[in-house]
Amino acid sequence: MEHLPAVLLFVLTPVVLLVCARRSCSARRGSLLRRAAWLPLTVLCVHALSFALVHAVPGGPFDDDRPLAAETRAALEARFGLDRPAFEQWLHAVSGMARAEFGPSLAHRDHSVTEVLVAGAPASLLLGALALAWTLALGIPFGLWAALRRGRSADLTISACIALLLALPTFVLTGLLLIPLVFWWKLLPAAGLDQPSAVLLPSLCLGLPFAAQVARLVRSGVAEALQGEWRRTLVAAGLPERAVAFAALRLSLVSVVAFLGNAAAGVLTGSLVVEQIFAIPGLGAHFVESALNRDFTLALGMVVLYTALAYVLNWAADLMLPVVDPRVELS
Amino acid sequence: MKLCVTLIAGCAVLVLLTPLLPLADSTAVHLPRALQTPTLDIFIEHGEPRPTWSGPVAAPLATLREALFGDAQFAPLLGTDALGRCLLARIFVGARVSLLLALVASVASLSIGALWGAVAGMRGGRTDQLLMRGADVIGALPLIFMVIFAVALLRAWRGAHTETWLDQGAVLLCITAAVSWIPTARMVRAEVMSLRNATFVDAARIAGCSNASILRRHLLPNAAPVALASWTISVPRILVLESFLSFLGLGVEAPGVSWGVLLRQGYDALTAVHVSWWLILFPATALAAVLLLLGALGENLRIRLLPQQARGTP
Amino acid sequence: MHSLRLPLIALATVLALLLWCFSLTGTAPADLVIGNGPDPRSLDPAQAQSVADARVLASLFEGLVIPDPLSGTPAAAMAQHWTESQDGLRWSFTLRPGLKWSDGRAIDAPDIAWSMLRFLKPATGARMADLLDAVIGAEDCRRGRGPASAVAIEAPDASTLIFRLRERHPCFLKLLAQFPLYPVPRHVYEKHGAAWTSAQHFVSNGPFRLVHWRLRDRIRVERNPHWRDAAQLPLGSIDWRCIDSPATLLNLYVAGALDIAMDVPLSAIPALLASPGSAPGSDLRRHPRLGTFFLRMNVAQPGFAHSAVRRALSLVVDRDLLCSQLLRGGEEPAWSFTPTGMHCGALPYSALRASPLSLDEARAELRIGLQAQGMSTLPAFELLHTTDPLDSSVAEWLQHRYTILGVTCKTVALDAQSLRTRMADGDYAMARSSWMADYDDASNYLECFESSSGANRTGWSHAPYDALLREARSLAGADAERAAKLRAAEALLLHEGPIVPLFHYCSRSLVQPYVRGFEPNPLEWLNPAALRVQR
Repeated sequence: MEHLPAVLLFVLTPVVLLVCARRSCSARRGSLLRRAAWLPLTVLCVHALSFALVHAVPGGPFDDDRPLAAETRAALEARFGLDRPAFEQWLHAVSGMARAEFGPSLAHRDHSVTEVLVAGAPASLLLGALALAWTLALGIPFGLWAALRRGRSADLTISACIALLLALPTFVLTGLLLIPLVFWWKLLPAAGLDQPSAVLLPSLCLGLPFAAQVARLVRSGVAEALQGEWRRTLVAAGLPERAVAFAALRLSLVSVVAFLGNAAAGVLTGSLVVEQIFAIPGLGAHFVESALNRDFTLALGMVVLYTALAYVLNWAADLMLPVVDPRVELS
Repeated sequence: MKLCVTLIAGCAVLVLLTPLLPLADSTAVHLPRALQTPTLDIFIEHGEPRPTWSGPVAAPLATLREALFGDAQFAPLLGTDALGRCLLARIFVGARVSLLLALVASVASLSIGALWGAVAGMRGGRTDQLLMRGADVIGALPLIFMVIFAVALLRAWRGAHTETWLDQGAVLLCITAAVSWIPTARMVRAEVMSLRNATFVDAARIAGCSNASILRRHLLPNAAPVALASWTISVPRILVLESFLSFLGLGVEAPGVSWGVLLRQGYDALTAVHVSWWLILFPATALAAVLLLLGALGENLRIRLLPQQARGTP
Repeated sequence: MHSLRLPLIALATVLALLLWCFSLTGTAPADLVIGNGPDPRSLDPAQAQSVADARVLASLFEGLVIPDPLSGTPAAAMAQHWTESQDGLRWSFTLRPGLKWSDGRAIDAPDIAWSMLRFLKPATGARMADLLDAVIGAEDCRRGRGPASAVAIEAPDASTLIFRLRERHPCFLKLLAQFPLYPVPRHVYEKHGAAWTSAQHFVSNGPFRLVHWRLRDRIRVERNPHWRDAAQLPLGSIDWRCIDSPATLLNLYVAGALDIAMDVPLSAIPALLASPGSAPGSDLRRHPRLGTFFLRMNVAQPGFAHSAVRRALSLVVDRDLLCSQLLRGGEEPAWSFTPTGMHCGALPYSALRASPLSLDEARAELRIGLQAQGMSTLPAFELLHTTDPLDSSVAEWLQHRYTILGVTCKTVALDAQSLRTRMADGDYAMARSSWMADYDDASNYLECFESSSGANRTGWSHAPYDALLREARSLAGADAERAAKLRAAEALLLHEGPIVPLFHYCSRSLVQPYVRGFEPNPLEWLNPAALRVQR
């Protein structure tokens, strides 16, 4: 009975979904169902792989500066279920995962893994959402502007900035913004998340490279659209220039939306570094730390969460495509 | 394009000839001058410890340097780090590590990716499904986590077998290569799939060529431009990955130097009361400049090699 | 309009999410904000680990006695007074009347006895379970060999607690002041089990009680109205900020977000010292710490078996240069294992100092040691250290020093957990280590390198050393004689032993001028009940 939810989620659901996908007559629904079926399977795969890796790594969570007495260690291992055979532990972990329970954290002993994840989520979510907001808020207008001023100085400046931002890794960009804004001019707080202004710089650092990418996509998309036949048609039909530009922008948004799934996954990775530099109480720091502390349960929880997030974000971006551009059929 | 290639070649020559340049010893701890700000007041200094080089190429260059410059060498023009080591010399030595690693790892990832993609594209059907789904799963893994554990595992393995070939650089190389081949595989697969139904392939098949020889003689040569284009994209990507890992403390170990390590040390030394900006600015500039150049080169190559694709994608 | 519905719903969801996130970020500051260190491993006293954990616990709990690091002798806390029998084997404590848990329930002696027994039981998994080994039956109980009922901790009535010892202990009172022995509320523990430490169930007996704990951010505690001296408590609430990077602590302090920063990055010390007149330089407080940074050598490794080799590797290192030029944070060069300022019982224990070797002397020692093992050169070895920047700097510096001696060593950075594992497995030649005093007594240091000690981990076993420590233990109560034995043992350790003591730590903190009651001390102990703010 303990494994029932796990069997339901990881075996029955994918099978049912795949069968439905095969039978469904609409290609769109079929692909949707297939995608849904692969989510639990991917998560299960990743979990199994990580579990194997975690247990192959030498050294346990209870190695200490002061060695524990053998009896104490045995008691701790029993408490956290580490004394059972590896396969049994894995089964237990999987059935826990199906109920969104990952067990107690080994390094933060007063918290369960779920609690740790829930506690870190708001800060990381805030940071990630703001970074994506920067991505769109800076990327689209600047890209549009550059496209409308194609070949002129504004376009050249923006293009140069885009190239530069695309070349800079997040942690380099952060340093270059941090030193003047925080340490020289003291405009923004250096760390923490106490004031609303504290989240400004981290999210900007995180979002800028993706904003550059979006600006590039919009610029080339709009510029190409404006060269097409239909622009002449629209202008001839009496539409004002601005309306034509917006129509072109809407066309270029297809590639932007398709890119957003990637960007969201990139934001997840980038926040590892940014959260560390700005000491933001988010999830990112747990990633490296849990592995280094041999906090097996938390590490597995983090992996599963990030895998599922990356999958769902990519999926969501694909689902958004036909909304932006009805011509796109789900493939 | 020409400018780009010239600049990259210039960088490569500078990096290769580092032992020849009159630079300070990048490992010489010189505490009294720790965290010295960049200055051009003293340009050349004499009598400081000189670096030792070993290896078939580096050692003769170092001898030549002795002959050319004697004990004269550049003063720490770009400042010094928390242990008083010359940042200029460290950037040059770091470049050797970072760039060599990126180069070798990208070639390795190119080979894996091209093979994987070619087999998937060639066989099609179930094999293709399986291989590409496998690539998807690997691509969906949170990379950092896997890398941390792989590093720990390989380190433990290394601990048991001291004096093996498997040093830190090799560990990093294997891992970066192992996780960065997926885009290449996808691109090569698409190309091979489109070529598979071309007339000349059909002709070869009718002539009785085996799958392997078709792959080797017809498909791979024709997919080479795609592979090359994806390689130029993967070099900067691996460079970033390496510095990212080193930045998190998982890459090159101190006292080894890479640009990521330099940046990490820059952040460590940076505090509100002592803003040692040069420790971040200069390594960052070096990294950004090389990435910019490589990016531009990749873009140019892509336009030249794949004119039909370059038009389609922005 | 149909096509717009989905994006609008998505937008509304995102906005709601953002609002929720923002609502969680802002919290009103407490009366005093202390930048502490990483998150405590647990608020269960038996599970807590570091000095930083201990500081948080000291605000939430109090023991029978509390340490008074300045005077050296513990002061009364839950216990009003106590008596020690003539032979030192029976300790009787009388509790203050009217003690209460933070939920208002009375504390009596059986509660405390139960808590001590819980600490001993293997199922608790207490990290320092051997603290009470001097009590009759305690060692058997913690090893699962004897029943808890056989442990000689008794509560004959509601206000008396009696400990009977199997042998006289030189500093039993100092042991009882240790944080792992803080009392745990039996009524909550029996109701909620291991979950008793979660914020909604948490009950303690100290000056403050837990309000909430957000990981990687802060632990908020507020005045406990049921504490014995609650009316006199100057502070209404404290925020313990959980921040692991000292550089971040400094940045937050400079920005005014912290009233006290319990650590200062080493790289900032010269700049702080350069401006002693103005903040933040004027707020820097430094104090020698009872803690030693040292290297362990594995005597099983080729070349390290002979003490002359180890002596050469140890005594050639110029600690003065290391401290004055590399560290520059006020650390003291370590020519002994025990830090200066250590006590032996009530008497000051003045440690014996090893004399440094010149380069030529060290070469000669090395040669003698190697010849005795039939070697001509010391094989290249690895020096393991953690990825911590200070560690890496020291390791790189040492590597450079050893090349002068003609010895090749390769530095290997490991994460802390891997380093512990390799040390525990004896899979190393030389590794960085540190020892922080639990309590102020030289035996707490020297007993680490007894053959039977789990903390030894070097394979070094020296019968005369063990004998000296045994004799010292038998002299409990006669501090002067005991100190002489310990000094003799330390001389052996420095001459024969497997260690390279490098420096004694220095505690560094930044304290705003309006904070009173902060007394720097060798144990980095903080009395939260004494802190106050006077603007």
